[in-house]
Parts: sequence; C-alpha cells; structure tokens
Amino acid sequence: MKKCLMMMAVCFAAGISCGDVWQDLATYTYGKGTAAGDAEQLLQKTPVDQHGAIEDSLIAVVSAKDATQDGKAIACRMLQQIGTEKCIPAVASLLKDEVLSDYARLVLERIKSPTADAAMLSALESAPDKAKVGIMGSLGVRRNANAVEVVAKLVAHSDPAVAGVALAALGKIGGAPAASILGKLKPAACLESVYTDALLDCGRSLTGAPAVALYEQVLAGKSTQRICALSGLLAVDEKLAIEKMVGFLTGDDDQMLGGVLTLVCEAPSAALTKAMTGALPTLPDGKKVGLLIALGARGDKEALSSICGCLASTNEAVQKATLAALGKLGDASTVKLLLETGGSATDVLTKMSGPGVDDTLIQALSDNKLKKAAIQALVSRSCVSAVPALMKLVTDEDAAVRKAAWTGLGSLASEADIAAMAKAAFSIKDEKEMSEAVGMARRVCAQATDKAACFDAIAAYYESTTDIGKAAIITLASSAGTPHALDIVKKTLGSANQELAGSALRSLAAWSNADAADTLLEMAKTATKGKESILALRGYINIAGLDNSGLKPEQRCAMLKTADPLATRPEEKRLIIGALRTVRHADAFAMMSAYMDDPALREEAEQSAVEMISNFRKDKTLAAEVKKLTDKLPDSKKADIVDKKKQPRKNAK
Amino acid sequence: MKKGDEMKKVNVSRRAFLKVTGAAVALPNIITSSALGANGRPPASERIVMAGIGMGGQGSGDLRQFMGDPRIQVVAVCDVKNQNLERGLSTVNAHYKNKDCKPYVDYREVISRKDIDMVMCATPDHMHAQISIDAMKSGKDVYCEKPLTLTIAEGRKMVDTARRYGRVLSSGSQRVIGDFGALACAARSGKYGNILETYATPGGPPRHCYLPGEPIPPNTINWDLWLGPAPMVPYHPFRCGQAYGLGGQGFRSWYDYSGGMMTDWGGHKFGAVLHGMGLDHTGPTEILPPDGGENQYLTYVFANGMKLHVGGGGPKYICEKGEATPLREFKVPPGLRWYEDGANTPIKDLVNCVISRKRPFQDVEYAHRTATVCHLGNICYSLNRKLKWDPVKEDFIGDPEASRLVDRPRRGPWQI
Repeated sequence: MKKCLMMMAVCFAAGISCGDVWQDLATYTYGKGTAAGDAEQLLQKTPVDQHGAIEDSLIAVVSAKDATQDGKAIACRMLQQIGTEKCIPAVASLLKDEVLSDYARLVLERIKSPTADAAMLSALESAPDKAKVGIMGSLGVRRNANAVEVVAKLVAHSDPAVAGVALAALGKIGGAPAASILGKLKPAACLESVYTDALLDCGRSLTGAPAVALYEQVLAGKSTQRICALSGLLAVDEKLAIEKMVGFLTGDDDQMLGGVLTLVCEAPSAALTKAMTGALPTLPDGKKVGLLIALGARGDKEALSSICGCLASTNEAVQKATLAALGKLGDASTVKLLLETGGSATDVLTKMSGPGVDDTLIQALSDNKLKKAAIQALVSRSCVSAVPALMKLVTDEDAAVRKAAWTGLGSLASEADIAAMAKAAFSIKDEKEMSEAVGMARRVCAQATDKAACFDAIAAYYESTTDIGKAAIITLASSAGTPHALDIVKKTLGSANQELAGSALRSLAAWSNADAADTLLEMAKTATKGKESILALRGYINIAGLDNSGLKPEQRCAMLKTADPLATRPEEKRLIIGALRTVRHADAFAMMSAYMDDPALREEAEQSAVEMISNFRKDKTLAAEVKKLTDKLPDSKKADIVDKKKQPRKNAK
Repeated sequence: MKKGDEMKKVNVSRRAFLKVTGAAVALPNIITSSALGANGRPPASERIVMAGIGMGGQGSGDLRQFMGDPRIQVVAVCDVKNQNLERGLSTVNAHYKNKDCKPYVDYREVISRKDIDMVMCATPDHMHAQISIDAMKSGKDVYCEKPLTLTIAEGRKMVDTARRYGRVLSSGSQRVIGDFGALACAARSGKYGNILETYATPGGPPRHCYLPGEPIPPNTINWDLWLGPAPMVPYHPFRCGQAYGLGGQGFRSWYDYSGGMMTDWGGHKFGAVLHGMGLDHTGPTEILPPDGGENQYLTYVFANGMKLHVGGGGPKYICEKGEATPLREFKVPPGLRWYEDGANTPIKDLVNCVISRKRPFQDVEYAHRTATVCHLGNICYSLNRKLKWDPVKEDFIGDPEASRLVDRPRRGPWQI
C-alpha cells in the first residue's frame, strides 16, 4: 500500500496517469500512444529504492499473454536497467521467441546471477537457431563454464552461422575443457578465421603449456591472427615468444615483420628490449630503421645505448630513425652525444622532456665545440633559465657564438634583462655587430609589457653612442610613445646625418599615439622635400586611423578632414579612406560618401564603406548615415554586408 | 651477404619495408628510384590499400582526404544504403579516373579481402566497435570516426583487440588539435599556472526512439545490416537518417545508435580538454549531475582534483592565474602529446603510423577514454544522481544499476 501511494506520487509529479502506464505499455505498438515514453519517464523519476514496484509492473507486462511484442520489448529494455533475480523467470520465458529472445538477453546478460546463466543454458538447446546464436553470445560474454558441453555440440551445426557463434562462445568461455574441445576440432574452411579467434580467446584464459599449445597451433598457420598468438605467447612463455619474434624480425615473412614491430612498440617486457637491442646491429638498414622507430615508441630507456650506437651509421635513413628514437628516449645523458651530431639533432633536443636536459644544455655552453648547437637547442626549448649563461657568451671570442648568443637572447630574454642587454650591446665596437645586438634588444622590447621602461633603458645610451646606435634606439621610440621618446626623436630630426634624421621621421610616422600628430602635420605642411612631406602626412593619417589613440571620433574626423586637402596623391587619399572605416562619426560617413563619387577612388571607397557599415550598423545614432551609405552602394557590395551577417554554419562533425 | 642479394631480398618484401620505413624516413639505398611511381607517388604495389565503410557525408569527406594522400589506394567502398554506396563509388572512381573500385553492402565481405590493409569506418556510432574489431581481427588497421563507441565496454574491447592483434587504430577528431590545440598549448605553457578546471559544452544526450514502423522502400537499405547489433525494431527513415543534431530525424537522436551530441561533439571538446589537462589516458572518479544549485552543470571530478564542467561553451581552461587564451607564439610545451612526423590531421597521422607501426595521436586508448567521459555523462544525465567511477576497473562503484549501463547485450549473431 505504501509503495503504491509512493508510485502514485511519482506519477503525479511526472504528470502521468499512474494506473494506465503499465496497462498501456502492455498494449503498446511503436508509434501509437505515449505509453513507452511515459513508462521511461516514470522510471527516470522514481527513486532507486522504489524500483521494486516498477519491476513488478514490468514483470506483469512481460508475462501477460495478450501483451504486444513491442510492449514486452520495451519492458525488457527497462528491466535491463533495474531487473533483479525475481524478473528472471518471466524474462527467460521469452528466450525461445525469435524476436523477443534478443530483448530477453538485454536483461539476462547484465544480471549478475547464476539463475540468469541457468535460464539461458536451459533454453539453448530447444531455442530456434536465430535465438540460439544470441543466447550463445551471452553465455560467451558471461564466460559460463557450465555451458561448454551444450555449446560444444553446436560447433557441428549444419548452419555455419550457428557453428561460428558456438566456436566464438567456446573461445570466450575458455578454460581447459573448452581448450580441449577446440584443440581437436577441424572446422570448415569458411569458419577458419572464427576458429582461430576462438583459439586465441581461449588461450587467454589459460597459462603454461595448454596456452602455449593453442598459440603454437595458430602460429603454425598463415593467418594474420598469428600476431595475436605471438602477443599471447609473450604473456605465457616470454622466452619462446621472443625467440620467435627475433626469427620473424630477421626472416622473410612480411606479414609478421610489421606485427613484430607493433609488439615491440607495445609489449611490456624487459627481455624483449634486450633481445631486440641485441638483434639491432645485425639487421640490414631497412629493418634497422623499422626497429629503431619501434624501440623509440616503446619508451624503454634500456635500449638507449644500443640506439645511440646507430648514430654512427652512414645510412641517412638509419641516422634519421636513430635521432627520432632518441627524441623519444633521450635524457640528460644523451644530450652531449646529440649535440655532437650538430644541427640535425636540434629537433630531437627540443622534444626531450626528461629531467636535467636544460641544465646539461646550459653546461654545454662552456664547451667550445658544442656551444653553438647548445644555444640553438636552448632557444628551441624556450629555456629562459639559459639567459644568464647566454649573457656571458655575448663577449665570446668566436663571432658566430656571439651572434648566436644575441639571437638566443632576442628569443629568451625578458624586459628584466633589457638593461643588461643594452649595456652589453652599446659596448660593442663593431658597428654592424652592435646594430644587430641592439636589434635583439629591440625584439625583447617589442614583447615587453612596459615598453616605456624598456625604451628608457636603451635610450640611456643615446648620447654616448654612434649614429648607427642612435638609429637603432630611434626605431624603438614609436612603440614606447612616451614624451621622453618624442623629445629624442624630435631632437634627432634635426641631425646633420640625413640617414639618421630619416630614421627619426620614420619613427615619428609610426607613432603609437596622438602626441606626434602636431609635429607630423607641421612637417607635412612645411617640409621642403616632397618625400618627407608625404611620410609625415602618412604618419598623421595613420594616427587619425588608430582606434586606441585616445582621440575622440570628432577629433579623428577633424584630423582626416585636415589631411584631405594635403593629400594630393591617390595613395594618401586611400589611406584616409581606410582610416575612415573605424571613425564613429556622421562626418566620416559623409567623407566616405564623397570619396565614392570619385571614379579614381570608388572601388576602395565602396569596399571600405561596406566595412564601415558593418562596423556601425547597430549604432542607432548613425542609423540614417548607415542607411544612406548603404543605399549608395551597388547591389553587389550590399550583398557583401548580408553575407557577413549570415555566416554559414561550419560542418559540425 | 652480397649487395645484390640484399637488394633482392629487399625487393621481395618491398611492401613490408615500405610500411616500416617509408614515410617516417626517406628511403635511400632501399628502393630504387625506378621502382617509384609517377610524381613521386609510390607504385601501386607499395601503397596502403584501403576501403571505406560508411559512405555518408562524413565518410565520403574522410575518404577524399585519404585519397589525397599519395600513399593510399582506395579499392572498395561499402554502405548498407544504396544511395550512399553509389555516391561513394563514383567519388572514388572519379578520383582515380577508372572503374576499379568495388562496391559492397556487407562490410564482412570487405574485411575478408586479403589485399586490403586498412579500413575507414564512418558508419553510425553503433557499428563502430563491431566493424573496427572485426577488421582488426582480420589484420586491418582502422580509421574509426568519432565517437569511437556506443558503450564504455565496447571501447575497452577495441583497445584490447588493437593491442592483441598488433593493429593501429586512430579515431577521427580533427578539432582536438586543429581547433583547440593552441588553447591546450597555452594552458600547459606554464604562463597561467596549473590548470584547475575546464569547461566544454558538447550538446545533449540521445533519447529512445518510438517512431512507428514503415515499409522499407525497395532497393534503398539493408535494414537488418543497418541495425547490426542494435535491437530489432521496425524501419523508419528517421531512425537511420543522416540529419545532424538531436531533432529526431537522424540516428544521432536515438539511444540505440548513438550517444547523441554528447558523444558527437564530446569527441571534439571533451577530447580537447582531456588532452590539454593531460588526462586522456584515464577518467574521472566522480560524475555529478546538475542540481540547480552549486553544480550548475554536470561536472566530472578527476583524481588529481581537476574538474570538467559540461557547460560554458568551451573548451575553456581556468588556471591558477586566470583563464588561458592562445599565446601569440605557438609552441607545443614538452609533455603535451601532439601529432608526429609532420602530420597535421588525424588522417595523415594514421597513415604515418600504419607505416611506422607507432601509436597515433588519437590512438584507440585515448579515443576510448574520451568516449567514456561522454558515456559517463549520458549515464549520469539518465540516472540523475552522483556516480562514482573507477577509471582503472572501468566500472561504477557501489551502483549496480549504473554498472548495467557500461555495456549493452548485442543482438544475435553480433558479438565482439
């Protein structure tokens, strides 16, 4: 009574009429009514401790003589999840039904109870063939040793489908009785493959001589399944298996060669590593390559010294395979050896992840023969702890080492190292070398968060350095964008050295904020040389186009209006058009519209207008301008805007 | 041994040599240049001969990628749906400009061919394990589309078969590295500190199908073969439809044939975060259903304390120093698994590994672990209770009902 009340409460909560669910399920046919879904929902919402009541209802459906096939099938599906010992008799009564037998097994195969085994076993002999194959499958899955005798009778069944499933089930059940039966069989040709798999499955359930006998039986044949026999043999008679593997490795059996190499990649056995490394030097180059790759993938460091021995090979393929294997297995102990092979090992050294690799590479920086290769490897490994050691190498006697060290610093150093790098760079006498060194410091600055501090650290040497040094400093000024940087650039603009002054102007033209705008505009208007005037104007337009310059849209728009009459060439007009795309201002739309009327600029203006409209189409304050500009666009360009809105869905799979 | 003798010996087993030495390294002194095919393509006798099983949209696309690799020769296509089969056949024949490709309805005929080295399995999910295991037992290497499996137990059997039979199997999410790899690199770069938790939203679970039976249109489908190990039910075109999503018009909607979008996109997104977290060789220890309170999303908890939340779009990595975003400079951190030997897709990676015999990036074990996370989520959604999982034994702890759902009995005569 209590259970019944609880069920009613669950039904009520699920919005289902409780009394009808199971009756409806008993008369259910696919597609008609909602009984199946209701029952499923009810089960899902019922607490586990109340599943007994549901099981009772489902047993009633399964047992009902007048219940439909679909209703019974769905009841079985649900019992698969919640069925207990008590449902077994009812469900087992379906085992001889050609269709419902499979549904009955949904339940019985997953119930941990000997009663389920007994039920399937007792149904097997008298079940129709179609049901027999399913039942045998379940008995195999459950490894029911009591089934061997009955299943064994069916290996001689006239229907190969039944006989095949019987063989497979025997193999899965395994054990000595099954092995004894399987070992004596001579199956029909069409069942040979199934039979071999059964031998292999059965072998897994055994140890010692009986297992060896089954694996030997398979290995005596020609099937691809011999690989499986070999892996099975490795588990029960390692010595014999390894002997055979070496035999296949050195022999002519193509099929087994690939299989052996796969096992070398996979199988855990110290003796196998020893045997394979022993065979390695004796193999021809082609097979050596295969074994080296496999030993690398195997990951057993015991193979390391044998693999290292192959580095001396004159065969390029062997060398490559050796390096690849060392990439997998190598550790600190192999670093020196790899460095000695030169640049070809850099990739391997990059991938090595063992402890001490970085430290060993850093130590190698003090070895004149190895330092260049070590720098290369440390850079590839992004080893920032190498920076202090690299700083020492920037004064190395060997120019190539100095250059490599600077290159390494360019990749690995951080803004904390800039002051030291600047000091070292500006103390270099050779101007070309100094310029390259400053270039590396610049590279670090480019990645720095505090660009102003970086610039200041380098600019400290402005007064004391040569014009080449000054030029290098100047190129950093634009990204720093500080008043100090601007002062230095302005000062340099007046240099008598025309090249240096040109560098200053280029730096100014690439300024990252609006501070340089006035100077640039002035130069654009007054510069005596056309080239300088153009460069200044371009820099001015560039600043107006910056989205993050701190300028308001109306200021940016005003700058571009100012630039317009100064831009006498189409190239600068196009720059203005490009800059307008991100200016959120009605006047910017008007300017763009005007450019669209110019035949020489129409194409670029229309293209930029599309982007401008896309950028601001959701800005209600610019709705009228957006519409006006859109209307002015040719239809083909309007389609571009539409396409942007409707991005095609990527192929999900 | 004289040089000539060695060459003679090499020529006898040229195909095996190619498989163990070919793509991973160059082949100087092993195969003469005259033995090479046109345009550097290996001659037919040295190509990896393969068949495509499941020639729907994904299968056809995959097969085109395979055919784009000069080391591959496709000789057979197979599908239980006539329309798919014809399309697949014409795709292959058009590619090779001949009519050599053979069509099959029953994959068992394909895998019984001794000349085939590898099969691609791109059928609906419920056939993946069956076909892959049968193929591996027949000595074929396998490319199996994701999701790898329909049940957790199937995956373990696939791993077991691959290892015992010495076969190479790769699953097929191109997105794990292609779309989400850079994020994994960032999360593992050290910049953000240790990973604490991740977010990924694959999509919902499947449901049971109660569609009515309909007559099978003549010459369209072999219904019994399409169902394979799934329970026998009446035909309806939407049961076996190829429509994407959970809209009830394609197989991904239905429990008997698919894990729904949970496994479909889970193969990508869960695969990605498991890879990034370095947990793609194991599994969670707890699965918590969304409870409308503290657990907004279904959540997986791993033994090392990391969490994976099924929500928030993702993949996202929340680390000690904030959410990881891809770094400007792309670099694979040491210890993060990646494609090898120049591969940039799972297909190229598999072809390399078929030759070298190494495990591919999406080796069966990793694919199984990814699929397991998806299945665990579906089971948790279905039972709507906290579950404890043993990732070593691959069984639930103290929940017999949940344990029942680790595997599903197969319709006779299908067994794996």
